[in-house]
Amino acid sequence: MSGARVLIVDDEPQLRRALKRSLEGHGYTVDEAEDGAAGLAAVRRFKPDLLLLDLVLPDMSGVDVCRELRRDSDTPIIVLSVLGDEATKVAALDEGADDYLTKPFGAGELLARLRAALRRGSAGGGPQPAIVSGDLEIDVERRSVSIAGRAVHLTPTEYRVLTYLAMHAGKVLTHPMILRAVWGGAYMDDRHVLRTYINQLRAKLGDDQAAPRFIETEPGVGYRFLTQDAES
Amino acid sequence: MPERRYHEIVQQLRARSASRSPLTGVVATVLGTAALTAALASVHERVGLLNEGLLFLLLTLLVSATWGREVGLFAAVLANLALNFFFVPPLYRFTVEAPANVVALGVFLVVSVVGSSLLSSARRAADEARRREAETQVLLGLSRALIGQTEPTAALAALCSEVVDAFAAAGASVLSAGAGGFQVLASAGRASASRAADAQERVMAERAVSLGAITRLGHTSLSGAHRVRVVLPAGQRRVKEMEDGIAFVPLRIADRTVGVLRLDGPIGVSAFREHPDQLLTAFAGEAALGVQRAELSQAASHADALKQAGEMKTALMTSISHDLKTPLAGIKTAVSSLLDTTVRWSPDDVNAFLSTIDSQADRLNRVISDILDLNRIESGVIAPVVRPVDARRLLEEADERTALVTGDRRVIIDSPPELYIEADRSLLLQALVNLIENAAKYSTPGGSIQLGARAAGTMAALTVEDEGPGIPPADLPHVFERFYRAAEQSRRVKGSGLGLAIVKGFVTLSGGTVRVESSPSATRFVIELPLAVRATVSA
Repeated sequence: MSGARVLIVDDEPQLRRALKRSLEGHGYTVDEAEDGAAGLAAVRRFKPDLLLLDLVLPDMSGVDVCRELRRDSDTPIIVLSVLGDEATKVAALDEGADDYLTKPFGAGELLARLRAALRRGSAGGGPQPAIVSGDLEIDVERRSVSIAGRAVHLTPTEYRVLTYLAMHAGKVLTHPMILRAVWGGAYMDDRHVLRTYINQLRAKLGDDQAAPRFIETEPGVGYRFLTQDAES
Repeated sequence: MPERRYHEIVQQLRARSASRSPLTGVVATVLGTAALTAALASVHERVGLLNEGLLFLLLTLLVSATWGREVGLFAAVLANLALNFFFVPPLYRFTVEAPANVVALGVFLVVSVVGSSLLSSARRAADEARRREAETQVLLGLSRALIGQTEPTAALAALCSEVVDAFAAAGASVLSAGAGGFQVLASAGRASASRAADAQERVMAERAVSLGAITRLGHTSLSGAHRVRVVLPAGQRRVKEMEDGIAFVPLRIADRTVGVLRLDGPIGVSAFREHPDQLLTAFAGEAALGVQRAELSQAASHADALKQAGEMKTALMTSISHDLKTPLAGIKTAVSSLLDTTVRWSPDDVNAFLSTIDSQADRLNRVISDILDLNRIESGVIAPVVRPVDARRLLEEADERTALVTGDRRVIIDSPPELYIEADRSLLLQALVNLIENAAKYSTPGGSIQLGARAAGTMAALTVEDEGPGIPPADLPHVFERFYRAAEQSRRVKGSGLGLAIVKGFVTLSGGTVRVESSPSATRFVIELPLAVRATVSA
């Protein structure tokens, strides 16, 4: 989706410059901001299709920027972090960030994530009659799941977990997000229950945790439903 | 209540108990009776038997009031005999003529015996009250001594010194009974009171612990013969028995014995010597609490240290990952873009990517150097070479080295010529370079940086001053700590957070001290070093 507008919010001028050049080379229109306030202002002015957001900013945390932005915007956000920022990273995802990249990252990885997030962003909301990913098909109206035309029998909870993940394909969903959506707020800390269901789902879908086709584990953070494109 | 009071009581009771031995009483009684007899003999006719009897009764009562019942009885019998022999007719014979006098002597004996009994028990009661009062004073003194002590071992030391006072002992110490055997937590009295428990003492202390009773090591205690005697089940404790030896009092809390109170003899003449139980119990109770507090605080500080080490490690890892990975992110983005063959990069693009790689590689190098420098400082592998150094030339060189960083800031050097300081030149230069870089980073852009050198007495001060926003007072004490950045600046300025820690390390190694002064408009770092004897020097 070349031509899309990307806003880089990072306080490292050298990294911003390199990112900008790299993205512009691939046809994106890029603007940059060096801190949170400038970033939020640029969102209004520049109207980006996507935000690359550093978590450690001089004036405010990237988490706060996410929260502020999510009040009135669905613009996809990919947060940039370094190792050791796990807690902040999860907080940013909980506040509505769509994905994260751990510094240092290669340009190729960044571009793939950008494409996935932009596609999701442009897909729009609204109920979908069916979710298809590879040979997996989820018929939302009939609440049935099949792989290569063969029906897969899921318990109601397994079904809810799968559809929640699939409806946010490509986006990293944190443990608390999934737990809240499927079980309700009271179960938000019950990660091993979630892990059990994910394992059952993988078994029934014939998915391999080490080389996943459908559900990918984001260690320490949550899970991501893979879109076909992200796989390829 | 003033401290003096209870010492006075102790002294007084000590003096009284010394002067009141029964032998003294018997001698005094004999002398008193003889004197009274002699005095009355000459005036016998005029005074009359009744008055003489009353005077002897008075003597008897005084004796029993002073020396107690036994000596009082002796005085009563002696007075009765003296009265009979010298004053009741027939004189100088123990026979009595008049029946009335027989009755009178009998009555005299009965009255004096009863009176002396009453008086002596009143005296005992008074002494007991006195002793109780003194005990109360001791305990009050103890709680006063303990109340101000927040530090457990200081409290135990105060307790030991109260024990030494109260028992007039040679020394007292509190030993904890931990996994590693008995350890002296606190002591008072003679210097030897703080000695570690030797083999014999450990045996006795262990017995005290297992018996739950006071044990003692006999006269030949400290070195030499194994004349170990375990004394007494709980009921029969007597400190008196440990005259020159060492007593061990178990310190118990609930069912647990936490240690022992070691009391070194000789126990001086003390009012409490004969009745030590109550006081010892009180002391032992306080000491047990003190030992427990010491244990808890030790455990807490150990946990604190572990926690701090853990936090330090986490901070170190976080900081290092940020400092190393941030430049790496720029390099990786630039390199992977250059390697991306799907885009035809213009020469301008290529240049930009390469310059990013170049500058970020430099930055990475600086961070790694910082980490290595600090590691060298902390591991003690740097051997400083201290020689006379020309201050002005040193400042000029530091200025040249930092020209790139200071950029458009005006750097003013203010130093007299021929000012020589004793330092390791390269370490001090590195420290100055770090300080100037620091000033450039934190000060207002365009503001000036002043480098100064000045002699004061036998010392010289090198200063690096900037026109920055200053450092908040709360942060000042911490600026030389690793990874510490003033709160407001932590987000604005990127750096390893190691620079000032390295400055301090280098200056210290070079034999100097460094401190910081800050106001809302300026920050000044001052390095102080000894002046060199200048004559023969070239830097």
